[in-house]
Amino acid sequence: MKKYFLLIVFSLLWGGFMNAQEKIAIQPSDYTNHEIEMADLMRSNGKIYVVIAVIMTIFGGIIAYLVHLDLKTKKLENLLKEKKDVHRHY
Amino acid sequence: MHIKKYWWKYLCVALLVYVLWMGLMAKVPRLAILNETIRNLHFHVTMWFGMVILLTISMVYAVKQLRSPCPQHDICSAESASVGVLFGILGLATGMIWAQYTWGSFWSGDPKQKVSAIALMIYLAYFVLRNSFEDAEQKARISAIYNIFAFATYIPLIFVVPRLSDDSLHPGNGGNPGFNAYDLDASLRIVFYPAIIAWALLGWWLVEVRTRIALLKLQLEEN
Repeated sequence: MKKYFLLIVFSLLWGGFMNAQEKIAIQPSDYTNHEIEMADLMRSNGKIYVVIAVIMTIFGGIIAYLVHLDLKTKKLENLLKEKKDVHRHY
Repeated sequence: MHIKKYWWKYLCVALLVYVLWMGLMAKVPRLAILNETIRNLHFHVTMWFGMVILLTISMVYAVKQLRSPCPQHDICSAESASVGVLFGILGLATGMIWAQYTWGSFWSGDPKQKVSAIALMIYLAYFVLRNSFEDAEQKARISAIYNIFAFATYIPLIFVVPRLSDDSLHPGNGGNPGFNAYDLDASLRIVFYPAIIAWALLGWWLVEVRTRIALLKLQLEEN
């Protein structure tokens, strides 16, 4: 095991010096420039909240369905458990 | 619904609401080509992370199944792979939509896109394999072995191969600057990491419910 440990440490160290892809830092101007088009209009006239409401509704519906499935499964599990208990008492 | 037992389900919903809200409202860097689609980072990329987590869980249960065979391990392994494949399909679909508007076409011949499709097919073959067995024990054993090999192929396929390629469109692969510059930025990080947890929890919730239903079916068949 010791030789494997040394091999792993060596390869990690060696790998740590490999920089195949450079990282580019984010500049503060990336947040404040006006050249790049963003959805500022949607945000300024408040319509973005309509989008959020739509997404939340879809999400709410799906979660409600998942919870419904969860509870249904629980009911079936309890039913089966009861049946098993009844058989055991006989 | 006891909080103690199901705390992680409540956490999942809370995190998802947070991610869905912040994903649209938080301040993001204004970058060329990406524009607003940089927000997809929180949905497309995090969903892929969720897939990797689920497939890892699937492999772990496959190993458990081989060490101590029992229906729970086998079913959990299969269901984790099932939801993992669902996330994979969604990840591929959302990636294609994103690609259409930033790279120019739905299928851009990008190495990561290609290997993602291949990885999906490997796991779809897993389900075909499962369905080809009649005997439950044999099915569990052989599919567990396949699962482990599938996972051992999956990880290098999607993580290593794109980075080795010459020309890739994905950030961080094939000569492109790493996306690390963007996703390590604080304003994106605060949504990115919770999003990974949120999608992983949601995936696990789906797996849990599916596993319980499968176990119920098994018990009903036995009686």
